[in-house]
Amino acid sequence: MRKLSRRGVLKLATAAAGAAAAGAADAIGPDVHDEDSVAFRGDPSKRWTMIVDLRRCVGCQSCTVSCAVENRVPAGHFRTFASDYEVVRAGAPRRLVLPRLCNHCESPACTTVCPTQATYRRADGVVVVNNSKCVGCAACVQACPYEGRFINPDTGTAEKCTWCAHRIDRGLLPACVETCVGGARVFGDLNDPDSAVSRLSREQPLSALAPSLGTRPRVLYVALDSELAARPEHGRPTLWRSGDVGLEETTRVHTGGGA
Amino acid sequence: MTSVNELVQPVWNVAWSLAIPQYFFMTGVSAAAFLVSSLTYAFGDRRFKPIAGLSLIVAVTVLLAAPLNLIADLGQTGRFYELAFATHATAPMSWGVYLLTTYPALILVELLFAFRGSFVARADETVGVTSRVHRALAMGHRTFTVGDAVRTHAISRRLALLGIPWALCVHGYTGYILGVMKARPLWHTALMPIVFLVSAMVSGVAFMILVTAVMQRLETAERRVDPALTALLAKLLAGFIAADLVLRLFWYTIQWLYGVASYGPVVHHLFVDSFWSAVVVETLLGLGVPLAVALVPALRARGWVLYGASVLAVVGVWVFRWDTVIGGQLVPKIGAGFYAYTPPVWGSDGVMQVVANWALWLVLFIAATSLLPWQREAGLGEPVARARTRPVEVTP
Repeated sequence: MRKLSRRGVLKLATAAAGAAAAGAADAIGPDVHDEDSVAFRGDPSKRWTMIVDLRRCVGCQSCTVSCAVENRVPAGHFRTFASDYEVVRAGAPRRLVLPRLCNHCESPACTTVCPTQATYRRADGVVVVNNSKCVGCAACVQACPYEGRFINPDTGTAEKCTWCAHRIDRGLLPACVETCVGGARVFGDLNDPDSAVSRLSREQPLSALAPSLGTRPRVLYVALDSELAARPEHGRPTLWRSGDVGLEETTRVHTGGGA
Repeated sequence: MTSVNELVQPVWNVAWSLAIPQYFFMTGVSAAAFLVSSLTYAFGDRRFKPIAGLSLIVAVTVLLAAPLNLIADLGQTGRFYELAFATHATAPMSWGVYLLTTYPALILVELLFAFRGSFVARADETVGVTSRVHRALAMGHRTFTVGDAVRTHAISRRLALLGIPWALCVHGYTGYILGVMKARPLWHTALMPIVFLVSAMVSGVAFMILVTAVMQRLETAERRVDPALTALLAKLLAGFIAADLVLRLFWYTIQWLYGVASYGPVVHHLFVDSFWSAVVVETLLGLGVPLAVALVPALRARGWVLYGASVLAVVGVWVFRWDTVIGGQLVPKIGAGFYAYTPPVWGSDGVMQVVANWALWLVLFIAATSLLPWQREAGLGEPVARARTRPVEVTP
């Protein structure tokens, strides 16, 4: 997290109003056409990183909801969500929550297989989709080991977490970080030694999901249970399916307008 | 002992639907049919001459219908042409754009040279539009001398040789598309392009047995299937099935017995959940039965037994494409358990899309075999009803 002055806060408030007015729901946003802009290329001086401190996560899903609202994510799809588990060890059950999102990998599996180079990694490490170039072939959806992507049924193009690029480019925090109740999601610049992510990375051992795949994620976890670092091999699947609970009817956050 | 129960976990739908196994199947048939034609055109094997031209027609018609599946599966179908203007060297799909455009063009040019003698002859024999069309296909040539034959033969031979790596690539790259996906343990093997190529040969040779049977019986003056030719194709089929089984043996045993943990669910999915499709239809009926028929001379000599076995082989390879493409997506990347998938009937991801694709191929095939004198090219006679000879001029 960045330190904010009073003037900074004022600037951010203006920027937030601008971002809201633009309604930047897409990866880069339909209002961005300049391919040399920060929105396209990113800020090379930054090294954005997210650390999820699982000791602080209460599993309230406010990240899931704020992301869906901020980014107009279609019902039944998620840019971020928190997987909820019951892990039983030696007869003792324990509730574990694992917030998931695009890992903004340093060696992404998704960008290399994109036939049009519509998805790429910005200079600051944010993996984005230029959805005016994306043909919706879903190669990236298949390639991502973290289920960080889906084809948006409204736009027919690949969609994913952008760490709210439209917000961080204007000095704001991603929506999920801002609404995180326990302060579990920590976001900032790893190039800045005073940032919260830099401090946390010095103080705590960090783990990545599926490290053996060599994707080098920039979403890292504090206190990640080894059972959940990869797909639980003998896990019992959730009984809840979106159709069973009428999710389509109850969670449509984006009505009218179209993406 | 630790157990994990999921309480909340979203479900990720199948992102590559029915059109993709259909596309992979079609490119495989095209590659195999091209190689069968190259046995004659590139290597001069006269034994396959009766179906050399027909195989080339199958190769090109199948490949003209196949890419429509890809377009149907895009989220932004109207943007398909943009793939040609945006390249990405590390993306196999990007390679495919150039393969899928140059390969059918190469076959069409090869057809023009390989069939030139037949075009000239048919242009001479017929009148009206038919004659003019074939004169145009013969590039305006009015005569076809022995010297012309040598020249066009040399050109079609070079094109056939050049086409072999092209045909291998046009199908091999589809296996590569799957092989590069490290998030999908079923797909992520260096064997994938090879397994795809060999199973493509199985489906393509079996398909050519069926096409040969139908076309020789219905569309030639002789009206009989050449048993020596189908037996020869059956022997090819046996060879490719044997290679396919050996590859699968290596693939499954190494991954299952010595593989990484993520392969465990794949084995369960293939051999337990998909027992009927992956084990029974794909392996026992699709490979085992055709292999037995193709190996036993008494069985492969019986037309209907061989045709039945060929149908099984074709269906088996289609089901293999399904089990690989769809099955690979039914093993969740992060969720526990397995997904289930039943394709819808209508829509671009539905069963009717595949039916329509086959129907389109059939139309293209009927049009191409009506236009192109493949029987003459093969040294066979055209059916009597089809022979439109120039009327004999009677002097009063």
